[in-house]
Amino acid sequence: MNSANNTQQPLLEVRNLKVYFPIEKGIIVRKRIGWLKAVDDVSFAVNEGEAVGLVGESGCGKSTTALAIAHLQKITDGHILFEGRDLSAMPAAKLYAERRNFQMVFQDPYSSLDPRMTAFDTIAEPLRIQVRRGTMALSETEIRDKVLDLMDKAGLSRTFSNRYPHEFSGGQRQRIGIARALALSPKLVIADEPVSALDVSIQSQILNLMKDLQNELGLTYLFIAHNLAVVEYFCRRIVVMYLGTIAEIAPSEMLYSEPLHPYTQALLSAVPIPDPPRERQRSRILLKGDVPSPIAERQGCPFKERCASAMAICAAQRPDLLEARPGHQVACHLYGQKGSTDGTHH
Amino acid sequence: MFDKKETVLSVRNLGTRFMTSSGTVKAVDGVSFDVHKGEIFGIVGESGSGKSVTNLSILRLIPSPPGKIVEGQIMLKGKDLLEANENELQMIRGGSVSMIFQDPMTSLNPLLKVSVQIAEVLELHHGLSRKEAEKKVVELLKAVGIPDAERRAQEYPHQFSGGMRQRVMIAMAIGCNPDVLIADEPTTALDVTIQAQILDLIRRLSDSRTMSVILITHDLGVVAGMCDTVAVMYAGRIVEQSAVDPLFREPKHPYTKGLLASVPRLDSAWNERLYSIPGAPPNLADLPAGCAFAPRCAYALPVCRQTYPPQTEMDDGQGGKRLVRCWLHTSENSGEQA
Amino acid sequence: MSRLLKNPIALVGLIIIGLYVLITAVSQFWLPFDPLQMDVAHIMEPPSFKTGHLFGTDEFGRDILTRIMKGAGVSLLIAISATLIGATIGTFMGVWAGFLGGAWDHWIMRIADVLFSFPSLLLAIFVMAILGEKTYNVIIAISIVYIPQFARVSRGAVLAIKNNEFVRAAFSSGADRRFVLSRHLLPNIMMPVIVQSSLSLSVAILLESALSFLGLGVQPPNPSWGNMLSGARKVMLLAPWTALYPGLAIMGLVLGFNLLGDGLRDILDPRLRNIK
Repeated sequence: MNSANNTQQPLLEVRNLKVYFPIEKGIIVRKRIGWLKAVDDVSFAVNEGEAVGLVGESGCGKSTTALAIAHLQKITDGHILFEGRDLSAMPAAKLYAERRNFQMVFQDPYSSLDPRMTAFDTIAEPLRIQVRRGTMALSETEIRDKVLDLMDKAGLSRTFSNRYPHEFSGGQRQRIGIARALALSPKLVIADEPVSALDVSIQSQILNLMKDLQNELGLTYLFIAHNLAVVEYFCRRIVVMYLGTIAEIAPSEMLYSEPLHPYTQALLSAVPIPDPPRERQRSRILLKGDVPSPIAERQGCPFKERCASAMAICAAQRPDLLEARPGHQVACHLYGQKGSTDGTHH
Repeated sequence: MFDKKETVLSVRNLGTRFMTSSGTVKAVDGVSFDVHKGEIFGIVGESGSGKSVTNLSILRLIPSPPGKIVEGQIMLKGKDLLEANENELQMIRGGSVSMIFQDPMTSLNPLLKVSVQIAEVLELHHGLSRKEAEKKVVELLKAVGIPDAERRAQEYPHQFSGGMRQRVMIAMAIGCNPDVLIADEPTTALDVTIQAQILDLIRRLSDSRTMSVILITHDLGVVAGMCDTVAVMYAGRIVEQSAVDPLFREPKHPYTKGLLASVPRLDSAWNERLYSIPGAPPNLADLPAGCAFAPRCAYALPVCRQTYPPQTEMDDGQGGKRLVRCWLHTSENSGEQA
Repeated sequence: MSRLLKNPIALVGLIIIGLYVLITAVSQFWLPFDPLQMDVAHIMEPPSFKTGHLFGTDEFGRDILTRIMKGAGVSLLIAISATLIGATIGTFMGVWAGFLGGAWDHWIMRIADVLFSFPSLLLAIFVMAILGEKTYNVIIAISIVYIPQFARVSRGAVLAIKNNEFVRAAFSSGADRRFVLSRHLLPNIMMPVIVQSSLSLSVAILLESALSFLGLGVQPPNPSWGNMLSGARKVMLLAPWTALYPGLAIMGLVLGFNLLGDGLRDILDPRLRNIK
């Protein structure tokens, strides 16, 4: 396990990712009348051993991005590279084996497990699927040992292996989901809101478990969440998304101490902190209006309607994602255009 | 901030049970608290803590069967709500006490225009005519910050976004100038920037109308920012009750301490390991004798497992009193209440 | 399935169906009289123990009880075959439509809609008119009526779980569509399909009886409850038992299947509620 090493190739690289959903009308014959641009030109990288967070509010495209990276969602345009290999150009047969390298933990502990399969079978399934494909060779005994070992790692008692999902609590189901995600010994774990559906006192158990597993197994995480406090705690670097685009990428301490994008500033100011005197002192940046519809045709910066610092150029041209400080990228006209590294500050 | 002398709502020893196939569940057991005029009173707890059932009990909205309010008193301006008959209750609901829920989509009728729904409340309680009510509706929508109120009043719920629908709910709830607004997880389903807007709205309405608010949530940050007083619930009982500053500065009950330590905070350093309360919330149909939190408590004494701790009253360091139900604190007391 | 036995409604349904099955089984080996034997000397005799005709005789002197027993076999055979065929084809269509979505879904369901727009009996009559009046054509006709119904039910069930995350999890482990369909989707939609099947069985009995009544189903002199009713029409006022017993037979079996279906539906719902 390496610490972040800039000269090395990133484990995961997302380049100009676009996921557009067609909007169709018609009863007998369907005609496409527009596009829902769920993910609109997103690029970022994840280095080995890192925990990178993907945050944003509803409709920002973070879940779609995660599904696209996990190849559970068709990509409209762009490239996803894993260890330098372009997955988008890979034939389906090779992709099946490649999937062992990245696995997903899902959000909803109630729909992420097949109600008709025991905990053991759920965790064993990835292994059995790969064995059927011929990409792995394991006997049933080897599978059994691996599954029980995974249950130990996930903090589940081995006696639970023959129980069905409805016999488990939410936290335990999430543990099963984590054990399943680790079955193929992936290098990258994409966690889509893994603790959002859990009670507060269980959330910290699962977060601690995920951190321990990262240290023990040398995992890299892409952690998707809408709860900024959780992401800030768990992740070293954070990608902030808004309406399908990236607003800002920065290491967590920098994002917190010096948020550059007006949206990030508003987002951070809106997150409540369990500290009454601080809360009273805080001045909240209240955004006007609602998140605009992702269907509407857009020009310029997606945030322009709600931004207190919007300028004329914001309506005309969409800002590029540029490095405003070392390691800190932002897509905002306040910080200069392409070609200049120090723009006007606010 | 609020007038400590005037009590608007007083809940005494409330107990609500549910008959389920796994036995009798004591969803709420011996809950007592006071809400004063203009106060924002927070109830914090996780699922199964009884916080929602407490509030449904106040308005007697518990489906029965299988639920039943088995004991207690709920005094609203001198009248016991548990003794009120159905007519009186109908006047109180939406009149002096109103409620908003977590999911505005299921609380609003998708087939009726927004103005009709809000007008209904006004006609029912204040006997306004339809025309008068509709004028008031537009005023209310403006008061809750809905732009272009005249036009939007004629729209249907699905044409509003989540945050806007919640504002419509609030407009409906404050239409009759209630004394108490009960908000049951009003922002849990909303994005955090919208949450900030809605909470800000609730606080402004509480200040401008001297309206008391009972705010139920599981988010300690929301409590810190909004509430004057907090009650922490666990397994159907209030385990700690205090003004908000002393609670966060010096939590007394191990559960409160555990919760505060296990929640990731925006201002905490990266990679500090989170404390986590071991175990899981108890099965309400099968509560242990003694303190319900004892199996998960790092400080549990033998007595904790045998007998339910009495309530201890303490000075909160800013001129008021705070309450804890914990054996660890019975020695440092300035008076005891059972 | 032990829960099935504890549900009183389902239990009664099962018992009733069991009775009919028993009668059918017995009728393969033994019948009180010859179902086709006409006896002009004893036409329309009322039921009596003395003559041995417990349900009386019909307008041609044939023993009604015997014919009802024979008819049970016919009705059960047609109902079960038609439901099985209709369920298989319809579920297959519905599952693929729901799973694939898009154009497949659109066109498969348009075909189903066309079939659906016909009232069941009319559709069955239409098919019989084309195919001719043979017993196995009755099975085909009723199957065709059922295909769109099962397609609807199974498509709905698939849509409900297709986006569940455990389906995504299987894909992310490298499963292909066929694996996900057979291992995850089909087992989870079985319950609504089974409930629909048991209710379809009861309707099938009625459809077959109606077709036979109209002369389009089982042809006389072979007995079917429906054509027994048709024959009884002329003499009903003089010999009500000729219509009564076939009618009761139909009612009983339909009731049995309905009760079973209701019981199954009851078991299905609360169990789903518990799986939060």
